[in-house]
Amino acid sequence: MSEENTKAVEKRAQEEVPEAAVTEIERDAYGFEVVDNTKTAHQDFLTAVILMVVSITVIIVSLGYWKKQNVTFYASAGFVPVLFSSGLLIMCIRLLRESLQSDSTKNMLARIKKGAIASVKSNIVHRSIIGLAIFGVYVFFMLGKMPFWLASFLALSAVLIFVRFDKTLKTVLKMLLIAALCVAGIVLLFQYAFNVPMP
Amino acid sequence: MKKLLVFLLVASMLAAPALAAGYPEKGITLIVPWNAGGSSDLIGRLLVADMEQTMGVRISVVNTPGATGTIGMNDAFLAPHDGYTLIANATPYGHGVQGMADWAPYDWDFFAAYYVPGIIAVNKDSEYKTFDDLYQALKNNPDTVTGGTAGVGSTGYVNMEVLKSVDPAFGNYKSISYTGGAAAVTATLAGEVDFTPQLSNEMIDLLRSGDLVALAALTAEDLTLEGLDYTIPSIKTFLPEVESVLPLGDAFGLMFPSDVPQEAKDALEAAYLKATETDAAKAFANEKGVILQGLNLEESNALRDATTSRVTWILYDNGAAPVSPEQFNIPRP
Amino acid sequence: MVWEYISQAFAVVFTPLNFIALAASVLLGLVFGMLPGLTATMAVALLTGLTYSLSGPIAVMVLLGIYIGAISGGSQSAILLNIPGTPASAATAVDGFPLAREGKGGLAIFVANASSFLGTFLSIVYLILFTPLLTSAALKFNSHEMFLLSVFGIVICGNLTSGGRPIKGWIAGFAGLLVSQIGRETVGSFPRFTFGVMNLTGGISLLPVMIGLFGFPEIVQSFSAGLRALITTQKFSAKEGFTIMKRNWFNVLRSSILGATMGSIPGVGEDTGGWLSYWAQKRSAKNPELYGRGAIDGIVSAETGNNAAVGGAVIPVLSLAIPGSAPAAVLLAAFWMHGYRPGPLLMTETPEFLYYVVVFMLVSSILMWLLASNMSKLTVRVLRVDQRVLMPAIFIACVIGAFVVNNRIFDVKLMFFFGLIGVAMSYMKYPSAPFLLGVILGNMADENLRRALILHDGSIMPFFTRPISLFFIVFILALVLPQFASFRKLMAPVKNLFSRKKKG
Repeated sequence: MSEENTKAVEKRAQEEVPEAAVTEIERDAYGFEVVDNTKTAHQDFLTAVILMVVSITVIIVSLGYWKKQNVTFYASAGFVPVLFSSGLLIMCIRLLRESLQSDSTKNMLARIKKGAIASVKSNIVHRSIIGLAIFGVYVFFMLGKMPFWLASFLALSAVLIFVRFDKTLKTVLKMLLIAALCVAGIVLLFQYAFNVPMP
Repeated sequence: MKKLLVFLLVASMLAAPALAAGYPEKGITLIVPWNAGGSSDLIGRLLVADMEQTMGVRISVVNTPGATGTIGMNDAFLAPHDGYTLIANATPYGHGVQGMADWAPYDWDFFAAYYVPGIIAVNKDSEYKTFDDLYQALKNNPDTVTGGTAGVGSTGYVNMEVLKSVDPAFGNYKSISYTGGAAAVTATLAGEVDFTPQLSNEMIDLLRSGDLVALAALTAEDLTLEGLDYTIPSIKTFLPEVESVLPLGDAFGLMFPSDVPQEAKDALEAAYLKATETDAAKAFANEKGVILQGLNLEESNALRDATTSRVTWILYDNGAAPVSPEQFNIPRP
Repeated sequence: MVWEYISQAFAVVFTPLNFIALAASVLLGLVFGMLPGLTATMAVALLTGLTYSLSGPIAVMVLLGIYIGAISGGSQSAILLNIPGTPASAATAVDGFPLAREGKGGLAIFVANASSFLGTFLSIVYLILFTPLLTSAALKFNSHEMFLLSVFGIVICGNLTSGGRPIKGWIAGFAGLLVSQIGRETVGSFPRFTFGVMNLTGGISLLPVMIGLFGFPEIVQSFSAGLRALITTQKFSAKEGFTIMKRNWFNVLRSSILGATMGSIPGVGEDTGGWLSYWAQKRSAKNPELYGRGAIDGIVSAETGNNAAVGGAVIPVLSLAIPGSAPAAVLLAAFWMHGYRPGPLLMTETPEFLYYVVVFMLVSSILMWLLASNMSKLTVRVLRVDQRVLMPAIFIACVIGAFVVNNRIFDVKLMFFFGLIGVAMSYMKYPSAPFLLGVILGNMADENLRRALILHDGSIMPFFTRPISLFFIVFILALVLPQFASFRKLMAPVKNLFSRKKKG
């Protein structure tokens, strides 16, 4: 790709997705991005809380298994899950505390809310969700119900068309062609060369 | 004259489809519900390699392990019951009563090709030099002797449970579960457990090299295996009362749902019986320390029913199986 | 006699038709390894079926070829796409992908291939020299030791994260451990966390998790990839590559030993070999912060380690008929199918087999190096393809890969689910490698711990009286305790004592 072509694509990309405009990134002695933990503390808070809930649920369910099985604790199916989730719980508590070092709980919740709203508005997130949704429909609804090559072709075309910036007819046709070739190539390779059964 | 012509015409029209629809018309799939290399896998592949030649179509082998064979068997049950999907496995008695499947053992037609007996074996450095030693330890010191099996519901485990139903001393061992017969045998070799009641083919080479010693065979007669310079005494030599439940082991072979069209069944049976008469089949038995039975469909199904009856009720009565065999209309032996 | 066997083996390999077949199978293995979702195990299994009718020596030769090819091939996709082609190459992706992003993909692949070759080669040497020793050592690894080995693996999770905090690595690791607990457990076949879903009773397959975890973040990123500058791969000189390899001679040696040892322990395979070697290298490196962001020495250790496990895994196959890893299990089955008798009777029944295996593996590894190096010229071009087109196409390939493991669409859905988790994790800055390691190690830890306790009626004394266990415990404590500030404070006076003594 020539220099000006690259620049043109990048310019158009930036126009489409403004928040991706490169901001100044701090770099350390090796030239790597400096990760500031306090900026992401609200994410840690959120994940810590979610995982704490998960681990407590697992502990309760595992103890239930122990009761059901009626054997000594260490022989029961619930023993090791309890161990693992207790460990997880302890570490999440520690993470929670670390994240709260940078801000109070009230502020945390506010930041989470802010982050959530920003995500919902973000163009990048939109694209990701739509792309995933197309593949989701493919995996959960199309596979198994129609021939593999057809489902793959439809899904791939949908994603490729959607992901391209310009929705001109020429590009759409190009994407369809690429999708067809890819699916054909992949299916041929796997099914005939490798003798692997198709979904 | 005209009537005759019309009759012939109609008859040929009726015959034509029957002639054209000769099973098999397309490739057959053999599902092995275990990992490659196990007994089911090896026996399945051996049989279909010959059956392929006889029937003239490709039989592709697919390994679908998981949930002690249930996943692969479910896949076969969900596929059309047209005779184009087969299973390679041992007698499927356990799945229903263990709550793992909805189908019953008699929902499957069986070709019992090989019988693999259970053998009680110990490490060569073990303190138990004869079966009597082991038995006395079980009887007098409950909960001290450890036995390695392939897990609850595995053949080794079931063998001990069946023996327990005749003589409670067999329940005095500490059952240690492993992820498979081979792992249980390895553990015995390494000395982690005192004995193992697993299958002959899983320990045959170790028996031949002398690293493991077979104390008793769970067969009705004494067992002679190629390459072994001693005959393994049948367990009834020591405990005559257990003869009623012998032999204990697994019958391995091919299966398909019982409502497969008769035409397919006949073709499969013919090809299968031929496969059991090949030199390769016999060599396999000798090498692996298993017994070539080659039972036909009727005999295999009878074996299936007898084993199912006996084993499922014992499992249920001992609390090892949560679902009653009654639910599957399995009669008491 | 021995010489006869060896020359026979070489004669088989260098028969023109056979040689071509071997080259083809190594190539096929490389391609299999490269495609995410198609693993070495699958490659060997598929070829086992196809070579059923071939003669014994040729079949074995071809199977070993594809095995070695597949384990090595995974490195290419790990480096270029951040999606490991096989679980064995997951450790390679950690440093490989950042290098590729910097434009050093060609160099990274060169080094990876050279390391793969050396790893395989050294493990063959160990096979010849140390089989009896490693076999008896492998037998000593019973439930107690296996449990501690898995604990060890979990502990090193924390140190595998790049720059990020160890605690997030451990959290990811423990989450992975919990995921591995789903399904029927080994000791009592009791179904855990299955919620009535029949397909979960078999547990969660590793592969859908790996593909989803590593692949989805990349695929999702590609949706907005117009923002990423297209990467141009710099040319590199082979001399540069060789210099790096020479510098890493100790790394290679250590990784090969660790990898071969891990391979020879039944139940622990190539992936663990790679991770352990990577971790060992990172620990002893002068600048550990570099690891995870493009330390090429990391690639050397990971690839040497995972390939050394190949030779290691073959050791117990030959001496005990027990597979050291999953692909080795299929190999064992194939050996049986062709009438060979691996195990204690190997040297009495079919003695030539050992030498055949050694020679075949040797030639395969050389072929692998040649083919992989030439292939990389093509595969590196992958980086030049527009990510937005490439990634969705890769997704389709991943779907097939996830399906093929167990032949069910449920696994594809599982891959999607874990893909979402992978996206969430990368968004929240959790490393995925420890999660994967947790999924791999969870069952091992569970069944071995409970078995160890059941064997001794709940007593934990055996952990301290068995020599290997004790060694592990001490080692693990030595790794974990320094992480706690309170312990460091405690040890400070002790440290001062030693340093003062030196000066004095």
